[in-house]
Amino acid sequence: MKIENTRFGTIEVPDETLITFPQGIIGFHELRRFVILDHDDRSFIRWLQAVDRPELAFVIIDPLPLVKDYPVERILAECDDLGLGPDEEVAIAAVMTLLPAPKPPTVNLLAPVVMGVTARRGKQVVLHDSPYHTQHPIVFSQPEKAAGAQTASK
Amino acid sequence: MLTLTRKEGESIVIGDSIRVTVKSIRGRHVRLMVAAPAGVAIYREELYLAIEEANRAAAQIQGELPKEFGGAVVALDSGSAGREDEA
Repeated sequence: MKIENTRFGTIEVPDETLITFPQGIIGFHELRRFVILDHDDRSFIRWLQAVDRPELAFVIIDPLPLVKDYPVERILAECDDLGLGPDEEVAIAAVMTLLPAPKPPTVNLLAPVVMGVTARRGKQVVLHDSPYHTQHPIVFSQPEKAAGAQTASK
Repeated sequence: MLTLTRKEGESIVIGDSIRVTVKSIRGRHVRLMVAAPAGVAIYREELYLAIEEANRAAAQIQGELPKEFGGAVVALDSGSAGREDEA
């Protein structure tokens, strides 16, 4: 299947990588077909690309390493309508907003995207009445700086 | 567009499977109970609009992504981990 993408151009992806969002995502209910694209082989970010709108792609990131006690069970409980299997592997992704410098990128922890890896179906779940909102700033550090004094630099 | 007047305890049925019931009215607050099938999401409007706006902003990616994405370690800014006291 060919995917048009304004950032990467035309990409060929296997048909079975298509993910169907039966209700689209909030504000984009008509967008039912998505694929996930890697950014590069080093980054933790990926792209949720709308198959039918080349200009519409969302930067996504796994929120679980970022957030202590992210309510995974609650998120899974909101996915009954996706018809996922009982032991199905589920991917949870937070949508990232990139703002003009110097503002930091932010992640939406209030409304994560959830996808059943085998069923290839997904939705955006809203964590009503949670402590989260749509614009949590994130910070970066490069690994060698994070290692600090443990790294001998010569 | 339809405007209906309901008293406490009365309901509105939408389509075949959605029911909105006025549970109680106290001053300026109306407590509504909404019954809908799984797969029909229900939102307070302001929450829906906030998420819609966030999705639209997220889709507006202009220019190059920050170079620091490559191989970087990322964390929430320590001031933004959410308010633990409000669950």
